[in-house]
Amino acid sequence: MSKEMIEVHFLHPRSSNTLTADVSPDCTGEEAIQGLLEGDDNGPFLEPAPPGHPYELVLKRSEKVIQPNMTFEQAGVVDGDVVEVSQAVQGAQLNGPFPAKEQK
Amino acid sequence: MGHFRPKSRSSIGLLWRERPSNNPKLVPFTSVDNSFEVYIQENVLQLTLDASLSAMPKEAIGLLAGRVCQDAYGSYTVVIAAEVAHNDEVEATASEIYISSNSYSQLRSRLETNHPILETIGWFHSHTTSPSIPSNEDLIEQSTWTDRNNVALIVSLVSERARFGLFLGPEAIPLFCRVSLPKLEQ
Repeated sequence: MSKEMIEVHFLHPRSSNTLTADVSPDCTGEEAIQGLLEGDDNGPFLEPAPPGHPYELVLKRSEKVIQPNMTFEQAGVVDGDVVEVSQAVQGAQLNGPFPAKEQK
Repeated sequence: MGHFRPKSRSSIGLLWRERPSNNPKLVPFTSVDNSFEVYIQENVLQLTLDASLSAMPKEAIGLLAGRVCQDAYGSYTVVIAAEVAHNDEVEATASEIYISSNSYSQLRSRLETNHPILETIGWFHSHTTSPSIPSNEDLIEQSTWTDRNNVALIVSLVSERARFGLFLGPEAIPLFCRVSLPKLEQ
């Protein structure tokens, strides 16, 4: 029996834009990010992340990270929750090169 | 996709307001062809300089807050606050600085708590030994700020004359200060 979809609000990592989606409790973090990259009729919600700047999902209510292979149910996401798409920030001096950080 | 069905989106509309050209507390930066303009509150320049000096010999980093506005000449950005990342939120050396996505989330939450009606519209960091020109890594970072009105501020501790570099949008268009920079405390 399929589980009931829940409504989740996703916050953009670099702007105040939001996307609201119906998400299955069985949806994984990786699937949700893929859905945000594909977007809707208006186009992608997220652009492909450059190397060293991966997207990460954070459940705002608990500040818990939703790992790529974790389902929303496992992460404790419930109907109406807000999930922030977060992204590392990196800067460097002009006289690099400095390789991008490994994903943590 | 069966597990994920987008329903709706929201975004902040641009505030319609004439640009604050006559406000002496707002420092104007403009692109070469005058097509883009950013105004930065003087105390944001002071705050980012203070943070950069106190982080020495390491780099400093933080987020910028403000609003994107529009008038009859088009859109422009006003930066009126900054939030500096704490030492325990960054991995910093004299040559590079990094905020994990978790720490970025904390930093952004703090900015939104302290400035609840402002948007996160950019980031700043310091160059301790190089000019206020973006490095390759800075350009990659700026490409993640996909709105054309997002800004990157670089604070160089090398030269007082070229202390601040400001770059706009994902392509990091350089902007230039049209007036004498205010005298900042050091």
